[in-house]
Amino acid sequence: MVSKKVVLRNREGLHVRPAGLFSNEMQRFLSEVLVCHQGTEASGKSIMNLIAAGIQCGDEVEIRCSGPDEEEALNRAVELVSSGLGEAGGDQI
Amino acid sequence: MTGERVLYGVAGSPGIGIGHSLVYKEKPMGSLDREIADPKMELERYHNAVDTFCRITQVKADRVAEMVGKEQGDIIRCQTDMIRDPYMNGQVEGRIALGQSAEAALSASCDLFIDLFTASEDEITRQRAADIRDMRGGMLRLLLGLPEMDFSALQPGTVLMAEELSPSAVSVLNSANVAGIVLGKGGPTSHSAILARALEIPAVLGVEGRVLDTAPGEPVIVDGNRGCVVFSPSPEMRSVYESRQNDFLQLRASLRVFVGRETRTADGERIQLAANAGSVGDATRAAGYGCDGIGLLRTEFLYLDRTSQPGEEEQFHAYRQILSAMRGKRVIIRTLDVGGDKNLPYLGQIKEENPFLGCRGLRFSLREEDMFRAHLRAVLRASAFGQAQLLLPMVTGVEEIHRAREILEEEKEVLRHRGVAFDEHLPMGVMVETVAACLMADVFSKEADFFSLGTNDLTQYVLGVDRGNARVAHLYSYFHPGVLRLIRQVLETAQSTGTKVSMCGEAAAETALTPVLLAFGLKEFSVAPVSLLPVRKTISLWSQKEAKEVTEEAMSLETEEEVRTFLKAHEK
Repeated sequence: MVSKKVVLRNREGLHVRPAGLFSNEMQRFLSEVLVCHQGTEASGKSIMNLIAAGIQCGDEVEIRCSGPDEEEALNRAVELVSSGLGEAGGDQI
Repeated sequence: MTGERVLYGVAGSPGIGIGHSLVYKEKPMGSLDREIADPKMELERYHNAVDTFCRITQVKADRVAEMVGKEQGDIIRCQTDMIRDPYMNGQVEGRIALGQSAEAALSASCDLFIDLFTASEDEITRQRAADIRDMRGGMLRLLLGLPEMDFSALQPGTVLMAEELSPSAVSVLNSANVAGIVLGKGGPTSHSAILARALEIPAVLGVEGRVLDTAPGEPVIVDGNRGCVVFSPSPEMRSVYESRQNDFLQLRASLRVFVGRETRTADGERIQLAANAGSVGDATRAAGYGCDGIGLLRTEFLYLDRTSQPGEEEQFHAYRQILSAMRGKRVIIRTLDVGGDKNLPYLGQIKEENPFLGCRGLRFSLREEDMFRAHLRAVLRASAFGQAQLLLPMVTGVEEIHRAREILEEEKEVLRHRGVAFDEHLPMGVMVETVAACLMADVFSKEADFFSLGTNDLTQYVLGVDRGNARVAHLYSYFHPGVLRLIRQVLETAQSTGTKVSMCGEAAAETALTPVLLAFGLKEFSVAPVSLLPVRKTISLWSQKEAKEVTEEAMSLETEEEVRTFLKAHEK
């Protein structure tokens, strides 16, 4: 298992579009992807789980990946979150 | 029908709608429980419905994307992600395996997520329950073979009243026949509100009281500017609103013709009109109105509201994203402008007695050199993906420009060693926002590729007024003849040295000042996205000759009040 902590920067938190982008990207990996936030775990491959987790702007999350391609999955996950999930802290949707 | 009554809600989409109510209630679907013969076949039926749903939704999303924009299209498209979500799928499959019908299994699974979202403390997450209800409705109609409510053929002047209206229903509404939308639920962040704004349909949401308690066809006024709904308005009320509606539509129409147009004066001179942006969202909004690139990208948005500084990689991605969004148009990236009123605790900034005269802008960057170097590398790397330019804030001495240039060249060397692509000729300009910079403009022009007049700070430095101090704030004004004389001097100097000047302060967006700036020889304006159309329109109304006449008279006046009154009186 590999893991890394990142801070979410999207102004409106992990809402529909960024959660959709994140889960779509994660579904390409074989490894299990968990997004741990304030004591709860959400599947990184599930848009529903991610939205329900209610992750807000400025929240720190720990991304845990385990499986055959865990390094690649973690790198991509961290990259996605730190690049602002397609909106770089911008407009709300 | 009863007498006039007013209900209050939240302004969801601006404008005034006058028309007649049409109450829309979701028809109950009836019982979803049914004996099923074979779970395997039921599952297949479910998956077929999912495929059809995704196809239909994709078509809707494409249409919305084309009509109102990609972001709005994505809102609809996300329902395909939700229905194909592995957890959602697991829930439904499990229930069907236990003998439930596809309809019942889907409905129960959706309820699970609706409850989960509704229980959230976060307003945005609660709003997402509406998207799931929308998705459930669409899926159930497919499974049960029910037709979709046809909102595309409503009577002109229809005010649609509902407890809730799904994003996919709003997306097919036509502003030609829907005068307004009134909803019992929802807020300005709901997807339906975002779509209503994009479609320019006035909307009031989250209305208190019973929205559906209205006779069909009752006269209604929807005030999407103030967030209220007037039922059975009195003749007086009606005429007040008719004139408000007229004003609003005239303003909107007069500006709409300027969307996507080149900016030119009345005598045909091409003027550059760019946008100020502090986020990717600003940049895309500006691109929607049409503009000559980004005249000021405030990089602070990457540094604020966080606990540690953003790395080179993260910055690079953000700058690249904005450069790609502007499709080859110029993007002027201002290096970090903290200090003054913007403080970042994690950078170890000390609280200063007098921050506006303290360690801010380039002064701060030259002290925090490592951070500055990472910042420059990110901009350099992004410069390979569009037309980037670098802008240094708060400069008072030419030696500061020298030092910044040295560092920039060193970082270029670093990138060459790393074999990373960047624009070798990345232009570097300076903000002219201190009195020293104005007076030294001829010297600075030898070192800077361009100038950007930052009138907000310049005004307070010239007048010695702290805008935040209520006792003197009234003295802050870019109509002050002293401020205008200095701006004129900078533009004259720049003209003689052949240096390009743009103006990015609030003065650039002040339409009463437009003729003065044109007469002074300003060729590049940069304003907030919301000001692009008003400024483009104002520029189009002035010829150089007329502007010169008005300016000559304005500059002969002696007080701020005289100048302001005169220019406001001559505003077009």
